[in-house]
Amino acid sequence: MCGIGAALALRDGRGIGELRAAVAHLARAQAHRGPDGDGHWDDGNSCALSHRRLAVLDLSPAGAQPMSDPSARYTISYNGELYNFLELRAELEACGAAFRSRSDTEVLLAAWAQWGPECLARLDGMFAFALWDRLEHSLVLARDRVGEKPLFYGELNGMFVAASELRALATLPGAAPRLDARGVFDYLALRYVPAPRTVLEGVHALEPGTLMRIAPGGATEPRPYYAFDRVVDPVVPPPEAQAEAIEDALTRSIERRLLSDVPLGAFLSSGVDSSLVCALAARRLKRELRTFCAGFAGDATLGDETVAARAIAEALELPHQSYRLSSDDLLAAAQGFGRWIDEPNGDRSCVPVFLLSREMRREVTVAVSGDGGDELFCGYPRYAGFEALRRTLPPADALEGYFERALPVFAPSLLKQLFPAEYAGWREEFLLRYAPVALRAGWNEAQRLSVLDFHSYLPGAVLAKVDRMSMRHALEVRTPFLEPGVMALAAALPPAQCPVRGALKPVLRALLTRYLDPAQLAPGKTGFGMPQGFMRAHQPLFDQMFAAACETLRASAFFAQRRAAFDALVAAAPGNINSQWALTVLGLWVDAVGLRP
Amino acid sequence: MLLRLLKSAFARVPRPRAAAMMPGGGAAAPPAAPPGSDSLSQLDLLSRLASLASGQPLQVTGKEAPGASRTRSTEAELPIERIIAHAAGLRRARLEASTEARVAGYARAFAQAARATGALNAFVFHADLPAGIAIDTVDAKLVPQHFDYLDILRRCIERVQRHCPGSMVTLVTAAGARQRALAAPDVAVVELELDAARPMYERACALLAYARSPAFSRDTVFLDADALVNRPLEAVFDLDFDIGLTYRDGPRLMPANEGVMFLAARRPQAVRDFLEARLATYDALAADAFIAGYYGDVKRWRGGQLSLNALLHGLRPYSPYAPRSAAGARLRFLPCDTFNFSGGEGEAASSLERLDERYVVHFKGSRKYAFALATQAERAHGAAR
Repeated sequence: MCGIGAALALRDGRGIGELRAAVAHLARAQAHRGPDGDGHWDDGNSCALSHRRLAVLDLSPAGAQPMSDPSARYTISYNGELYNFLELRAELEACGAAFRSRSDTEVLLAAWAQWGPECLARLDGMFAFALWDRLEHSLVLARDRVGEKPLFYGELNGMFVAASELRALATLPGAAPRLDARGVFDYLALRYVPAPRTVLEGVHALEPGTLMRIAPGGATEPRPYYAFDRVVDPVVPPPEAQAEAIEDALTRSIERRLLSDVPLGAFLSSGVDSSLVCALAARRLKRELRTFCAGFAGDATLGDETVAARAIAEALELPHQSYRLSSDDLLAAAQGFGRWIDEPNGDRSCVPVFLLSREMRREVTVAVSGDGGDELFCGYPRYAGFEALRRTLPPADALEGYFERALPVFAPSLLKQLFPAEYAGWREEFLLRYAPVALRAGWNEAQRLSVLDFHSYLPGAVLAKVDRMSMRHALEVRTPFLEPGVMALAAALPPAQCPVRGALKPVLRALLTRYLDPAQLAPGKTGFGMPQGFMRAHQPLFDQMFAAACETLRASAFFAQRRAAFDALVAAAPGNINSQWALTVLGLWVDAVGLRP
Repeated sequence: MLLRLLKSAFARVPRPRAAAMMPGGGAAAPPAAPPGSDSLSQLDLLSRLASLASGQPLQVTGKEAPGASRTRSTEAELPIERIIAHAAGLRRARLEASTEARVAGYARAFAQAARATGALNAFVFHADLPAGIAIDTVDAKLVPQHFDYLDILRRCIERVQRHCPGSMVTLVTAAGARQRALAAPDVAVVELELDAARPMYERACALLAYARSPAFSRDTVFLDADALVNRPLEAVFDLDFDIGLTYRDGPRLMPANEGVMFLAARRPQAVRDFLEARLATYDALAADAFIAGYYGDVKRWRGGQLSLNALLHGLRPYSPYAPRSAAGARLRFLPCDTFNFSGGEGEAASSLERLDERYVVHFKGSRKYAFALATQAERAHGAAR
């Protein structure tokens, strides 16, 4: 797992020295993503790449990057893991390829040389890369199907630049980052900024499942190579057969994701998804994973899951460590949040995941998690209630109603009044983009909205959080649910297996009962989010952080031009813990990035 | 006989596929379907379609006897991607002079037929093939004379009016054709001096002529004659596009289906530009030796859909959540399972459940026998039209 940097001259006069300096900066700014190596490469003319390496497979120098293929046509800076690289390597060897390392990077290079962009459809993994093609004189950027690994890009003084982290680009010498009005709007409405937009003007995120080619003359439009959608099997197989197939696929996925040369662990909350991953690893694969959970020390009402998680680990005979995060821990981390968060993310579980990752990294380098299970198997209770909206309203209005009622950050109706121009753009680019989900035939509400979540919330909020919080400590997190075969089976589940109400994710629950007593699952799973009770118990301090953040934002050029709107936001926030925290995070981030006037 | 016919017609119902992706995806391919999977029941499909057409529950047993039909041969088929890639190399943006003249002539007929309407428009084209001419290409064999197209057209029009009240249907046909009997205050029959042996080409010309005429003043749904509207279509036009195109993911099918298209009137010039590029490409395909050698005269059959797919080449995988642009138009790709349902290969939601949620149900190919069965049943129940 690594940090990548790329710079390409778009105009004459951008000397190679400037490109080298740019990628050197990107490497320094992303050093936390890769403590095991610092590599640089350039073609002596118009392209430079850098790479910070976290060695997970093939720890030898043979796996160092940027890496060139034997013909020296392609050079890559790559962040990620290919879990099927051994199979691909065998296929490529059959085609005549020879390998000098055991790294997946070399396999990816050979796959690109053999199959070109079509190789992306063969990959099972999480990745983002920048690849220079010497013959075509172009740079290719690509990102994995679901968006597990990040990739940002922009243009700076005649240079095209790309990096794993937004802040690395924002702090490039000569950059004058400014908040993007639509990006801020998206954040206020959703708590994250969906790709391809970011919170900064002129900086973009490559969308999951897409690739783009950039030549000195300019970039081509990003092109998708994968598009997730649900299907409905014409003949519904018996639930047991579905469960069997999903168990087999998930087990294969876990097995591939446990291939590593470094110590391995697992996140274990007391929920269905992470418990199932641990159960299959322990019982089907006989792997002794070290499991980890975070709870909240002190008040017993704070929604602690550590007791249930420990009981699950004991039942599975897996080593377990629970961390009881103290108020001091959380508050110290929350106050320093702005310094280490890459982009604003208002998810209240960021801070606990950051702290848990720090503790886990003392024991393991790689950990598996249950992320993606809720989006694939329709695990969010908030989907109930969409039916009435979609039956009576045009599709985009129905979605807006859903965001107004079910995902309370700042209500779209309020934002529409405060930022009418940005609201119009949000409606057109976000609500209308996903409006077809409201019309899809043969699906229930959970299936409809989970597709939107899979495209937007999963990469924009969940996976971004997991990547940034864990990579801050050089901990690599792998997600077995996000394997193509598992995704295909989940997407083919009939409505009855994706209920909107009651016991959600029945297929996964049924699987889990093969290994665990269902009573051991926590009844009201809350995940790792800072509990509302915790935040209320420390209301004065959170209020203080909120006030400081508001002061920062009020002083920023962006909100100085929108004073009345900002005051209305500040007035509305205290009634909603998510709104208050989202605005606090934005203020901390603006302060840390230095966007004050 | 019917069973054999139906088996051949519906034999390609797919196993579930989860996601559109590039061809050749080793790791991307979903694992084998779980045990217990079987293909959709063809008789069940035909029963549901016949029930839908007649409005009363029908159960097809296999003993009914439709007319004879030749089954489809797949022996000589080439990979569809190869054909589309070749066709994409023939893309053109502007019409040849002769085609331009033809379209201009047709546009005058549409201008005369233009009427004010309060809702959306429907564009339907049907010209009877001259006697003795059948559809006989490498991938489709059909004898249109086996079907009562006047009855099919009546049903098509009636469904538009039922689900989209206040709409205006433009029915395009050959001069003096029997279809003029369907004219009504809200059905404008436009008769063109066209070459009935080349219906697909004439249809593409007529559609562009319509789009260039004052008749294209409202959002318009383009429908194959055998496509029945099943829900109000206004919500589809709320999705914000110039052209909404339906698609499926069957490996042997052209991904974009020509039979149902949604043409928004918001930016009519964008629609015209797209349709012009499509027609210009059609001309180029018809003149190409490889295409002619494979399909025969594509102006009779296949060329409309092939030219559409040629224009869209490079935009796959299609997704309803990723609007794209081509030939100056903003496109929205709409899955056939919801917007152009036939219960066939490559449709994600092929389940016959919740048929009422499909916006258009398309009686493609041999599914048209469902119309005959519906008519038989209606007569038997004293409910003949």
